[in-house]
Amino acid sequence: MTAVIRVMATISMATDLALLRLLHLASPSLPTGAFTYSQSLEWAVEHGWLTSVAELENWLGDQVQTTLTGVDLPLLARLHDASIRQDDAALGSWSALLLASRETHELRCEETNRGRALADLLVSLAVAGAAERKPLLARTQVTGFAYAAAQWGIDQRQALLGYGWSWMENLVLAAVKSIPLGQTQGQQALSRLLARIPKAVETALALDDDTIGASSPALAIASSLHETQYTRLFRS
Amino acid sequence: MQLASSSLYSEGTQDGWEANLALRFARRGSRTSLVERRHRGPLKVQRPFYPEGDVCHLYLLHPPGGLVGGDRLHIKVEVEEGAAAMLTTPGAAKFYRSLGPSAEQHQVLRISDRASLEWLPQENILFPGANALLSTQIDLSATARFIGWEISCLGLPANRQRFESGRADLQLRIDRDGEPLLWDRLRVQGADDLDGSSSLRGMPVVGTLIATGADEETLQLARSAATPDDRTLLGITRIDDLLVARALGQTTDQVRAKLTAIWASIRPALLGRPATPPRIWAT
Repeated sequence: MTAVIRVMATISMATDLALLRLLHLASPSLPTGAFTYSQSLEWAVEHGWLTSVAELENWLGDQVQTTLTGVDLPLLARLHDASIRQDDAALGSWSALLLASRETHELRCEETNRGRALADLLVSLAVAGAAERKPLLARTQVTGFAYAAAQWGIDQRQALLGYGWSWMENLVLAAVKSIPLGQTQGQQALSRLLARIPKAVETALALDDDTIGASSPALAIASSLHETQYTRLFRS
Repeated sequence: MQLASSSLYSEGTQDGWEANLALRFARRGSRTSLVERRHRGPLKVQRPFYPEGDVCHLYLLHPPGGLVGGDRLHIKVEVEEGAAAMLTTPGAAKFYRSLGPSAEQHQVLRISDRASLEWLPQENILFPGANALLSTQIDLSATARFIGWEISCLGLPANRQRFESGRADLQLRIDRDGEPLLWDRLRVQGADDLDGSSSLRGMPVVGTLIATGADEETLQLARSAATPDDRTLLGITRIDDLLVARALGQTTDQVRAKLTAIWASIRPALLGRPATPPRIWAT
């Protein structure tokens, strides 16, 4: 009896630690420079597309349906699987597809810069296997996120939810700074937008390989124009 | 010119017809020849012609009746080492209303080293209620050159008919030596998707131009040649040597005018040829 309780307590503590690791991985204070990117939101604000909370929710809500559901989340799931299997070939090919789905120079630079910073961090945190795979993990930030989640025993669905949270929080904060919005307004928007993430994760987990892919033409155009925007706070 | 040609008209099935067209271009002496042309079904090409001397120009003729649900169109183009070809179409590719099954057009463009392909078709028109899958796969060898575009019109804006019913799956993928360079897939299903804040913003015409071999100067040329205006959104970026121009507009003419101006501005630098718009565009 005591042995069973002891085993259950060990399992429970392992799950508890995995949750804490996920909070760590999804934290905005992770030193990967997330806060310096707006994913073309800054141009959309300057161009008058985003002037209110409602317009912000449409802008990000649309991306939840397209890019997050069609590219980021299903590829994160595949990269997580590949990390568990220690399948470096699959890590490489899904990372390449993720990068090819980033539509502009700036969006790719964001992905690779954050990827490099995260890979450095994972090595310094002594994540198993990160040092010998550093060039692979550095290719995209999604790759490093998936690999760390797998090594830290974070359940795949939880990892996708955490990624969705981290992405959404970062862009809402960028909007609060650039529209600008009040802190409370920002938190209200974030709270409503987060309610869309579970369905995105559910849909993404059910996608076949040949249904992956997305396109956001207006976002891609905004990002292309952000590259030459005169006054910029953000790097994308 | 050697021309291997065979024609076999496929029987239409109850689900629609299947048409194939396979073209192969190769360098023969001082110019590029169409060395292979196989087709099956209502998809044809006209005689090659040579307004520039060496470059093989060819018109691809879509089935005059357009595509309905169940129809499948496969186009394969190969440009062998050192060859240069330009493909255009005299008319739009039309996808009509479907009662259910998808109408599909699959295009595979394969370009070898030191070869070039210009792929400048007229637009795809997706009628309200169409269920259309259009995929363009471009396979490049290391030193292959490509300039091409796809322009798609969702619904019939001139008649104020929006693409509120139906489905569209528009795919564009570019690989170089097996590595993906760009993977873009626009899916539209229902009115909400037409108005997506970060996707179409209510604009029915979407165009993408791709060019390889671009450097910073090419990007500047393209950005000076075409700029956004009140009616057309336009963004041009350069991802390594891949120039990608995207346009969103209310009419096909507006979008095509932007992409044509970009093509004309970069052609001399990328392909070493002056830009003379194909005559057929003027008609």
